[in-house]
Amino acid sequence: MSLSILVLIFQINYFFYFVGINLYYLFLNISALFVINKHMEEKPLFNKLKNYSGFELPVSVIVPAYNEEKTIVQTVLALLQLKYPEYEIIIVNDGSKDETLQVLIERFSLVPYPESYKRSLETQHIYNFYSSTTHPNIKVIDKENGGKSDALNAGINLSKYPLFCCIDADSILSTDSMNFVVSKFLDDPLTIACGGTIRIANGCKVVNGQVVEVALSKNILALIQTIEYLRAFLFGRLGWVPLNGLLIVSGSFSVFKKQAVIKVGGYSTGTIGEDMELIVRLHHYHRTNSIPYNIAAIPEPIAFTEAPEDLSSLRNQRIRWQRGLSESLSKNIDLLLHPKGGTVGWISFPITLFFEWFGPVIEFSGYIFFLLGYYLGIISTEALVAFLILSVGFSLFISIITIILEEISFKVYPRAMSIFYLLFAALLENLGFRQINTLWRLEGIFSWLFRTRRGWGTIRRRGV
Amino acid sequence: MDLVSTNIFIIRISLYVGIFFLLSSTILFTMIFLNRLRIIRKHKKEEEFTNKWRPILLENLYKVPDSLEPVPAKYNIAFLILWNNLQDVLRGKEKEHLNQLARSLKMDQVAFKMMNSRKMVNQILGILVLGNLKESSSFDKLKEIAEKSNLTLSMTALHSMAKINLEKTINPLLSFIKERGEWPSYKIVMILDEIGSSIFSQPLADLIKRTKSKEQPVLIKLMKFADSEIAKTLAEDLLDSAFDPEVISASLGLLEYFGDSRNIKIIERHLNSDLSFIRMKAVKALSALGSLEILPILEKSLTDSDWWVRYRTAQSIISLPMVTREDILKIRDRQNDKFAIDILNYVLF
Repeated sequence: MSLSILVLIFQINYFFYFVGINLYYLFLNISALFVINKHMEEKPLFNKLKNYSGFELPVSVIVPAYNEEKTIVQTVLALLQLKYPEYEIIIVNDGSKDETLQVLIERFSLVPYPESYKRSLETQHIYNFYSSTTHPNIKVIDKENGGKSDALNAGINLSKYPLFCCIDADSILSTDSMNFVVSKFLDDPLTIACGGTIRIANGCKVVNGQVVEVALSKNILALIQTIEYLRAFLFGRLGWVPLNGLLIVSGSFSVFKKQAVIKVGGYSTGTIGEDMELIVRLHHYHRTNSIPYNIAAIPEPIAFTEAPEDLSSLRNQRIRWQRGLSESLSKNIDLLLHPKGGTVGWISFPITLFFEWFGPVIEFSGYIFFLLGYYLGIISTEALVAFLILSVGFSLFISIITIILEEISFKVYPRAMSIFYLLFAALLENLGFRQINTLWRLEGIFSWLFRTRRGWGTIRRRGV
Repeated sequence: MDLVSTNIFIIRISLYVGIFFLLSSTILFTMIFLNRLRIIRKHKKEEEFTNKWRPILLENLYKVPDSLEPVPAKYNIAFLILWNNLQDVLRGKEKEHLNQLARSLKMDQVAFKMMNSRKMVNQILGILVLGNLKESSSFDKLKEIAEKSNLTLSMTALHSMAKINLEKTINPLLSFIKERGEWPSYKIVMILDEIGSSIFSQPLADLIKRTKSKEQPVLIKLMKFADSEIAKTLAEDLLDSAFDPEVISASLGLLEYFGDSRNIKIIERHLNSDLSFIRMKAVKALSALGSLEILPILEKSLTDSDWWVRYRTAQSIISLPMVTREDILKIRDRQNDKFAIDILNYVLF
């Protein structure tokens, strides 16, 4: 086979990969449009009915904490502001090496308190339970270090309510976030999990654990992540909702039906992307056992999270995400094209596997192929420019569509200039960020293949 | 097609598609930006309109003026939103004055048009306005919307129907509740609340009695918002006659909610149920009574075969008013059963 034919084959492959990913994104966009439209139509009634009806399901909010001495009190104080009639807060101190437990004991006047602890899920050794003498709905578990999943499982064991909510210690929730998410469980009793839409907190003004003014960050990395988050949540996730094919709800804020999670064995302790793995396993269990269920997501921006602003933390995060994706898919690989797999086994799982998991391999090899080919004179300048324009043009188009989705719905960023900044971020994303991100994702795949990197992972927080 | 022309074809296609995306992005972005500017300007004008009309509406709450300047059509929605907000916070005569004022501005006609609009947001606003206006001529149309539309419109229409005519709304509402299983209870409660317990309690209780046991539990839970005497009588009747454990559990839940010491005997019977969750529910219902009369009854459940029943019993005993730690130690010391002693120790220490 001559070199020219080989080059042509490569070009055709990349072209079809490109067409495929375009169609995939287009489908998600259209599907998300319906979800957002329906949500916006129902919102006036929701606002009218959001006063307490007495039917809200009580929720156990589980906050896993590892070395969070600086942020944990703020997190709990913010949770106490939730406008929700009945909820308990369970903080799980996962063997922190700092003073996390001590600051909690002092701030909330904790005392050791024997609790009914049903060991539905296996966890590391529990040292003690504490209860607050000032806030009766605050409980603390002090346990041996076992990772985030293990901490969440301990929290589930102690929780007394039918729904549990898992949040990250650094999530900033809006006060009516719980009402929005729990309404999905009330609207459809088959709902077993529901996630919210998360936005970037960098650049926002936060007072007493609440975002009081939304603005874009001036940090370029955070700005690019803002557009990424918009894409990921506004169509990347919502697009799958009508097909009940959503494979991930954010660990930053999600609510689950406790019994459904216990039935599948809780969070998997051997994985990094525990939030995604749990969702895929829930799909797996319900599909293969023909149990009707629904996994939902709501478009309403209900929580904010701090994005890493330095390359090292961002790299760590992206490697962890890709590795989490690899683990989640590999652990449930028999769902792929399973006869009972339905829309998950036949559509969302294969598409995620190909475009999200294997995508970095194709994209990275594409970069190498074009650059090397150009350097060796196999690929012409015209060809290189054409593919560059195609790649940037499409990426920009998708980002613009996302901004449109945001414009017709929430307009979280109130200033008109914000749109310019988002466009600037979308452009800039193509000039280096996307390429380096592909490299990190590839690193994540290798990290999974060679079983390196474990644990809670560290992200340098600036505080917002 | 030879190799070279195939290659050129792919390059050209890529270039054209890329340029198409870039151009589309530029056009779309310009549209978004202009639209954002338009929205900001619109909001600003609506805000000015609201700032102008809020004092006018507030001034005229006590007396309807002879004449008012008409509301320009482009501000109809802004006016009705403001008017609706005021309706939500007002009571009595002021509300009626506000209605007269809206009628004098022909807002009833605007609301009718909006109710028939194709845009759901406008439909909702129109329906809410007609409800607040107590526009009886819209009742049949609202009933039709409640029957045929999606959840959001149906519920909004029922809400407005209840505002227009409580008695006429209760029967359609109850039949919809039964027929349309997809209606979430919490939304139904809001409408029942609008109707008022004195009107819906007895018809709802009668409906529950006529309903199959499989569908009863959800409806029984709605009785928490009903008149307490009617709800308790229903629960007593059901506990006397029902065999379905879910119905028994829901009825015990109702008695737990209303907590009446006259129900001790009827609850106590269910401490002997074969099902542990019924026994646990009975313990909870007893503990909600909060009277010392139940202490000897609860003591028996400390020896229950199920850990959770024993645990809830021990917790209930501890939470009883005027029961001190010494009292509980005494209860513990007179127990012969190892499990009963264990569970009391568990909750005590």
